[in-house]
Amino acid sequence: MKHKTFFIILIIILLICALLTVFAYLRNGGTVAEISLDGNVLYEIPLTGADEGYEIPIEQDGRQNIILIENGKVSMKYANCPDGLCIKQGKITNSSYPIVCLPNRVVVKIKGDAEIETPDAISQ
Amino acid sequence: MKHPTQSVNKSLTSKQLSLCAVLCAIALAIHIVEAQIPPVLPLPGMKPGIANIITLFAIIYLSPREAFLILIVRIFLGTIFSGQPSTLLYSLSGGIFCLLTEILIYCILGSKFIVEISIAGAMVHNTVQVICACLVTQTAEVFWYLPPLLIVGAVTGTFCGLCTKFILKYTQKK
Repeated sequence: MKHKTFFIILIIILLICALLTVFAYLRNGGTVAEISLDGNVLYEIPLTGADEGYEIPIEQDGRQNIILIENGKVSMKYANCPDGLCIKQGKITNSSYPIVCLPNRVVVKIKGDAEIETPDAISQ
Repeated sequence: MKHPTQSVNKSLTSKQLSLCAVLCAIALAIHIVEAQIPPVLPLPGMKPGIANIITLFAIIYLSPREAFLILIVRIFLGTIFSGQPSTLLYSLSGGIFCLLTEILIYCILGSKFIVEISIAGAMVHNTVQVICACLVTQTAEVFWYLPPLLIVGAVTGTFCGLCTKFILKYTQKK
């Protein structure tokens, strides 16, 4: 009986997790990329109008990261951390999953900018 | 003849000690090999957690105290050998809380629930690591990684639990 109770609890937890994952994945994209190091915000970069795509290097105490900004997308192009997981994460387009480089403590996340969103909502 | 400063039931016998050493070596090897496996999904913090098999095995075959020693030695040496000192905090916090959960459930339910113990351990490991990452990076958004990590944790936890069950079946003790 205890096995059964355990697996029912487990399945409920997993279902909640699956729903949250889907919800997070389907959230709308944002318009501002926020880059922070050690929890301090370094840059806030608008993602609109960056058709060409440009790179932002970050360097501190031997920690090197290069962040690539494109129209509506952000990705980590280079990091000197040992695992390179942040590079493998690829491009992020929505505000749920930030790119985290744990060894270098660099976080890149997308924020939905309310000031840009609001006029659209009014004009509709 | 008793050693004057040690009570017999608290010191390890040489057989237990050598078993501990062998388990440490196996866990360390798994830990290092595991760090080289490229991640299947782009999820930071995702790994198979196969070294947990050794920890689970030690809890049941030896005792929680030995399992704790093996875990600490494995994490410290593993961090040194894999050359990623920054991961020590995550490994250590995740590992200790995982072990405490496993010991707790083991003490309450007993060794018939190996798979359940393993799943609970894996999920607590993931949760504690995400909390750690959240505190280190000061970013609450890191918590969005927890749901998919818990799903992966449940799968790898089941796998490790079943492995431990098979190992225990063929080692035949207790």
